[in-house]
Amino acid sequence: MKAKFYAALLLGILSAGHLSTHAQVLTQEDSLAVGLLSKNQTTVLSGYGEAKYGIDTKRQSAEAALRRVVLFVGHKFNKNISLFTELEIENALVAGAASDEASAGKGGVAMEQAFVKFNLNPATYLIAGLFIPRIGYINENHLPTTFNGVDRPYLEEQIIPSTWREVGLGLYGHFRGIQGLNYSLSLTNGLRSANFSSADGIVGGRQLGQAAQGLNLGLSAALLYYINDFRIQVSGYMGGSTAEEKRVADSLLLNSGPFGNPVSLGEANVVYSKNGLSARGVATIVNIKNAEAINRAYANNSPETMYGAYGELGYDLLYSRYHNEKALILFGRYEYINMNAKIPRNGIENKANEKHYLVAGLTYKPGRGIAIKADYTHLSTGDFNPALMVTPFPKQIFYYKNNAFVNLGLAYNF
Amino acid sequence: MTNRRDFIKKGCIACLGLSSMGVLLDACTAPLQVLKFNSIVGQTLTVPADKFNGQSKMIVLRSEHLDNDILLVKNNDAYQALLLVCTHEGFALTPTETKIFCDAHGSQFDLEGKVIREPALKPLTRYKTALINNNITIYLNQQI
Repeated sequence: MKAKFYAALLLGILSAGHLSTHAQVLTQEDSLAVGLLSKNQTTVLSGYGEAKYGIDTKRQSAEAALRRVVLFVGHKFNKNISLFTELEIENALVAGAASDEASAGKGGVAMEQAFVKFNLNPATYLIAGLFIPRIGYINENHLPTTFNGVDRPYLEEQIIPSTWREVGLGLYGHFRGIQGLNYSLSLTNGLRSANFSSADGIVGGRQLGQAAQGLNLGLSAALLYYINDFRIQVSGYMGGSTAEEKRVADSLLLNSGPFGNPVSLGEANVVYSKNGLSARGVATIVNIKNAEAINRAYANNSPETMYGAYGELGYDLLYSRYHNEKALILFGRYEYINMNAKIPRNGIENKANEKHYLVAGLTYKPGRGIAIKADYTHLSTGDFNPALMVTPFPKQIFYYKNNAFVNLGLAYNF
Repeated sequence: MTNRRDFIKKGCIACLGLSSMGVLLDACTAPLQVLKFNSIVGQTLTVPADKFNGQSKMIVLRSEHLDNDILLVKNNDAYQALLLVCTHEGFALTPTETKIFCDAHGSQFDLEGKVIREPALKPLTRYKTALINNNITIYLNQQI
């Protein structure tokens, strides 16, 4: 009976010209969702990219860059197992000395994600490989056609690293008792404190799947609740930052093991969207517990505490006419970032790492999948600490406490 | 030793937190009704119309013969059957009373399956439905 049903269903679908029993390449139009039968194997191609032209008004300089091109390839092996990969080229060119293109490229090639997803039941799945845990908003919502501003929100690049991927396991699901409430847990390799810095915090400490050493681990958890027109999320991360074998860690007088020299991060964000109006608020705090020991070992001026928050408001001026088919979003965002909120005794504070961003601009979407962006960004900071100037006058570049940038951008997603 | 200012500050934060939790818990909606099908006859699913009680306007249809859940939505006397799979990268979706969300990359769909937020570009797969003798029939071989 079951065999007859499958045969009849397969025949019906084949006659409609939608599937074949063999693996096939489909466009996103068909998507992984195409199969009703678990024996279908399907492959999906997708991707996104963005280009930027930015003018630094104080330095009278400009930057033109193909920021990134990302190719997504997914494959569904069967009903319960799928592969997801994202290959990224940043800044257009990666070339060696023998290349015809240039003596050296400024770009980079990276796997942004590469994981296998196992559906455990309709409410739960497990992923394994290189993936981006649910921390902050932009990490999972980083496609450039989906956020306002040519650059990603600065807080989610400087305090919460963006596209922060590591190798490990993630468990995702939703609570059956409360509609709209999702959870995630992830266990990955930890950070590398040797690459922390005063200005960039933990961003340089991401290991990004590059043969991470040491026994240190990172544990994160998030609750994500969809209710009415709100998306509400809280997440936390705790992980060891000594990515060295014990012998080396001991010689550097650093704690080692899974959670040695821990970094903890807490974050909450709320997003509201309805009838063309959108609002988002994100707040975060990071603590590097043994920053003093890390500074002693690596002399990298790691801060002990960083925090910040931002709020953004946007309105689609074309909403009443096009209902998201086209959009012209006018937006404004304010961000406060303090990368040196607390400095260990052996650290050197730099007030230039306390920043206020004011961003205003437009996002024009002539159709789904394309965004043309323009924004004006004003940045004001505290004084640059002259004790940190290692380049003597006159080669030392003048530091502007107040600066403004005019940015233009083009983004696509398919 | 807690001083007066700290006490007021912490008290206010605690009150705000508790009231927010109260509002959130009040707002929590009941779990979605899930109907499980052990078999699929004639490439259709049949749901008694009276499964929609006064409050609920959506039911999740689930079967081991389907790769993904289907959301049956009642809108007055019309019914929509939507495949709960994001048309962006194929992740399962989270339906709520007003929207359908993808937690992988943030796509949102309305209860008719139309995209209201990218990165998804295409609407959800919809199946033809018909109300026959107070039963809702979903035709799995007829996408609309």
